Amino acid sequence: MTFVETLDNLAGGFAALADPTLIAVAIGGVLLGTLVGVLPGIGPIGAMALLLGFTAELGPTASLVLFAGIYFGAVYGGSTTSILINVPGEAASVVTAIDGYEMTKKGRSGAAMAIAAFSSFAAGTVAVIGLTLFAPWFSDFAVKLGPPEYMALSLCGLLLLAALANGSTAKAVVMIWAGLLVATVGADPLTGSLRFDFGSMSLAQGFPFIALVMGVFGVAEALTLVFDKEAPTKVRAPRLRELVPSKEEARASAPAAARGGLLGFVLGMVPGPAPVLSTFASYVLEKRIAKDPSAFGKGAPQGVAGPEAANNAAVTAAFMPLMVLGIPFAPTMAMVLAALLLNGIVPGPTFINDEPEMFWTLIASMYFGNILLLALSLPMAGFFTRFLSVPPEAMVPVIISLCVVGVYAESHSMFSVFVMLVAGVLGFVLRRSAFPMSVFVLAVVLQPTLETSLRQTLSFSDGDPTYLLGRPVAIALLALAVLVVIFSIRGARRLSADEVVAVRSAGD
Amino acid sequence: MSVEATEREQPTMTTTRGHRRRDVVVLAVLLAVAIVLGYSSWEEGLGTVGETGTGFFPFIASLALLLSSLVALAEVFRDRSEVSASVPEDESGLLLDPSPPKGDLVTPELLRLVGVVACALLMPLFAEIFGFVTTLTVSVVGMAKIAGLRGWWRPVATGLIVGGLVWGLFVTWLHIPLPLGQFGLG
Repeated sequence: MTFVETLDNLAGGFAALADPTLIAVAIGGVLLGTLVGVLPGIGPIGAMALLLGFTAELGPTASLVLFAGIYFGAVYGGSTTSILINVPGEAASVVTAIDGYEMTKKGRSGAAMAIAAFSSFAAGTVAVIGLTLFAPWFSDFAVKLGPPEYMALSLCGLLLLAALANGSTAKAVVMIWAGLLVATVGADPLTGSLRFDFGSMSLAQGFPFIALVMGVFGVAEALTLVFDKEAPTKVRAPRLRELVPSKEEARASAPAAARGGLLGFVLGMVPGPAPVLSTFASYVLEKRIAKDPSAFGKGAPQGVAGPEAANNAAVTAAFMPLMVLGIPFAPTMAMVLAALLLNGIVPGPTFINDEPEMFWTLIASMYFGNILLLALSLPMAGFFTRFLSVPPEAMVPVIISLCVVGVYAESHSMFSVFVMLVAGVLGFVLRRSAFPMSVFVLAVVLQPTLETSLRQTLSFSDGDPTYLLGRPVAIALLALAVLVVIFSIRGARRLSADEVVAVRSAGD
Repeated sequence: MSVEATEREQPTMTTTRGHRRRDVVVLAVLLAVAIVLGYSSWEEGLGTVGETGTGFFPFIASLALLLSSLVALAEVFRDRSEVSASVPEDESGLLLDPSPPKGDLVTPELLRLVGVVACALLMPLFAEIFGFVTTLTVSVVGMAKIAGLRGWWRPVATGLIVGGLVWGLFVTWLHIPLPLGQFGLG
């Protein structure tokens, strides 16, 4: 696709986005996303899970626009509570709290929020430009990939997510296989034969994905609110005139935002929790190249600008693997995939050519969303932080009833509602034992791709492993996965040894 | 939870007895699931390498779940022995645990949790008998009250608002058919 064709397509995307319904959905998405980003506990995955049941009513394009808005908004909103009260609303905003909250303690909360917003906007916009230019090019390349590469990509995505997830890698690996096993219930994707249905018509259709997701994210989240009752927080948002950073702060932030944006865009295309990782990578980079590294942790503006730019760029780049390969590399993207599948759209290498209007409308909505977030996030910070004073006991029934209605609206089956509630209780128990549920959900989503591509690869090669030697992309991906797992195990051993030393010192 | 609090709690979280016990129970259940589904997959038929059967992939997944659960169990017990060797014991012989893990199953929270889940279960159990919106309203009132919303006025108002919104949004606006129930209550 030439540059002129790309611009033509993008213009078409903006024309399609001019539909008042899509504009309303985009605005609703970013507002809802900012709200869930501000509220600790309810992340973008939970919000998307709650809305999955309604995506069939919205249609594929509006669903994509809505989910992109939620994801962007959540990352913007997550920084607000990180900076103001040292409580990250979202995992990708943990690093922002380190220097952001220090700036608040120095009376520079307004400047910190402005730096976060402008860095996010700049990096987000640059990342959308990257997506605009590179997605069609990657798509042409992806058409050449076959079952061995898809098998390697799925396996690589799962193992990388497990290796990079918080906590025990062993538990994350357990959740991979549990998710893959749960997803095998129902029809064999190659032959259509039923398995593990135990004579039940409901089980013959497999466990409904939406019910599982809404259970382990939505219901489990509500049950966590019941269990960990925390008092609502009152926050003072900065006034508009406090939002202007000083010249020194602006000068220090701009290059950090540029570096963070670039880093985030590259890391965003890598399987795993890219937005979170990119913030840590950006913070480490900024600290390493800073003239005065000791300023970090004491309110350095670069410590806010770099990570905030990185997580926004990573969020945008995360759409690339889904759109061009049809494989979600992150749990949030699994939600986007689920919304598309519910509408009968299967993303893959031919998606951009088959559904050009949908793809370019999504890209246009990303540009629009970034502008909207910049325009809304700062003036409306006070409005959003007011929601922190809503008592959790009022949110619990609302979240659970939304889940119930969402699942029923999509499936028209009380069996699905029952599955969701059981999944919610199990998800709650597993989360409290630090089993990462995002890995489980990604495994459920990737199971059909992994099983089909693995069995096709075995069939083509007749079990001969040398067949893979002629597939360098597959070999490289599998090697990458193995390397990351090895490093992760070594890292875990070192961490474990450190923990013992820490416990020993505490005992002394 | 603040960032400092999260960082402080991490080392103790993985080493406390409450979590260990829960880990062992969860992993034991997963082991059992792996064995049952592994056997069922074997019976479904594995096929040959060139022509795999319906049970092939679930069998591989079961086997991997079995092995990874065993590794995770070994990790749990290894942590236990390492902590036992390094932390002094109190007179009862139990490990000293000055900061019990946040969220261990203690009675009032557990009862509240069970109550909320029981209210939520009213939906799949009774929605087709008494009607979706009616059951949802009652369920929300119950959940709100048990979750800790004070008095009766607030839970009832929450239930009526949620029920009204669901009826307005789904039945009236989106025209999604919700069960009316045997008494036509809606």
